[in-house]
Amino acid sequence: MLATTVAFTFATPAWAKAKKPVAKVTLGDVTMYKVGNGPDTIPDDVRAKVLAAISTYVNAATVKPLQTGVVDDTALAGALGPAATQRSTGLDRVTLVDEGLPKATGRIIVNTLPVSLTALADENGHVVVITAHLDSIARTRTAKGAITISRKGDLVFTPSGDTWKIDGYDLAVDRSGKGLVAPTTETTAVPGTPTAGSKK
Amino acid sequence: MTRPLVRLLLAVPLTGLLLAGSLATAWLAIGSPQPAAGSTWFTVHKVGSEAHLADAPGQPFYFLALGNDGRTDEDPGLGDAIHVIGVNPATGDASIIDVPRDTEAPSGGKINAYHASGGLPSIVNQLNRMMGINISYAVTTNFPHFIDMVNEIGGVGIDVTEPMIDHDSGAEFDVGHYQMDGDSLLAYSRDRKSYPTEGDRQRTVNQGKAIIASLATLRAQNPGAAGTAKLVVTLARHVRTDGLDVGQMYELGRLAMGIDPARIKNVVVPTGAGAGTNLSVAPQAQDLFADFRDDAILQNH
Repeated sequence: MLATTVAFTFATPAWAKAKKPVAKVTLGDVTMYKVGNGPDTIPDDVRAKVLAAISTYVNAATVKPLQTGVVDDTALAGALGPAATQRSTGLDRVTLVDEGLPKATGRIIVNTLPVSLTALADENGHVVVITAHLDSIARTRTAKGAITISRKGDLVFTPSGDTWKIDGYDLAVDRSGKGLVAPTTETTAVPGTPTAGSKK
Repeated sequence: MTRPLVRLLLAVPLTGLLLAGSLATAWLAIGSPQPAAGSTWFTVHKVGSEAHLADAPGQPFYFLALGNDGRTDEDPGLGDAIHVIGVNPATGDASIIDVPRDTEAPSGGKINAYHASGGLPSIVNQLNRMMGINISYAVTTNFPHFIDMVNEIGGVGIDVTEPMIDHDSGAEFDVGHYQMDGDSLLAYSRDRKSYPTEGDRQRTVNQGKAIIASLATLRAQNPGAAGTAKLVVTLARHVRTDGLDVGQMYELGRLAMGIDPARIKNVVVPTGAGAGTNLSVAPQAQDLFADFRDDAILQNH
């Protein structure tokens, strides 16, 4: 059962600057694969950090650009690990962020299905990798008409100090609607290694 | 207990690469690995000192997939299926150089004997000298574990392009496509008598094909990011490793799953007549090795 979380963001226009964009992310199914005897599930604090990172990512990659025309790279770096940050400046950028779109003139609505998490724990019971299935749709209006951005796929999180950051991903994004120079459909598959990234 | 040994990661996808041909994934480890749970399918050792995934991301690296003829875990066996796999993470490509077991080692004698006498580090050293590369990881498996691995993944799809009959290996295949179980794939990988003139060389090429087919089989299951985690856990219960942790195994698995099997080149080392029954490395092999060592990928062969 996939309930839909709807987050309304009232921000785009300059007059709405005071409103902070929030793509609300909620937890879906949790699956744990473990080499040893535990843990049975993902610790609460880890779940919270992963969900927060996803929220940061969606806001920085989609909401902010629609509001201002510019990706919030600073916030993005807070959600992406070093390698993914590096990739976000290269070929994968077109898939990772919604750049170069017309600014929103109306309300930005981000619908995100509850995020399913799958974790891998080592023989000592430490969660070392978490994958998150993202399925989000952002809708808004621009001066030229309505646009829709659908982003689906898996984000791979690894620990980074006290936080969890996106280290890899398999993402597909569809952008459609009036006002786009050219609707785009991009898919990027990135092996878990820090460098590779290839557009299919 | 120094380090928790079984940091098994690696495994999964690479298994595709490893799996066949006695494949193996092996990263050779240093230390005293211990199995997690279940029977041990193969052993992975980290051979080199470089932590490629952590310290040199994106840099090409090499690993040895070795099938040994040991019938038990106590018997190291001869290294009879020798495949050096180059991986270039930046391009998502891989290449395989197959080395016939009777090939003369740089230090003399058949190269397969170095595994029986000195284990993975010894045969890795010979291959490094032969090709001018630095193999970072090595994986080995023996007959029974090879069979178990293949059966566990539901078999491997193989295209047999000419009739194969070798009563010694058990191979008996007409031309066609087969979903081979462990026993069948082992027979296919060991068959040399179906090839009167190119026996051992063609067998070695077939082992490389089996490795590629194993990867294709795993990719066809499309495990995705989450499914790869499941595969890693499954393999982790059957792999002995050291020098690698589960997170690295996962990364390697994802990396392997990102490699298109259709783009993997599989080339056997050119050989000529050597001393006794040995095969000498032919002069033209140097060009092959040079092509391999610049970026781990064969562009000109």
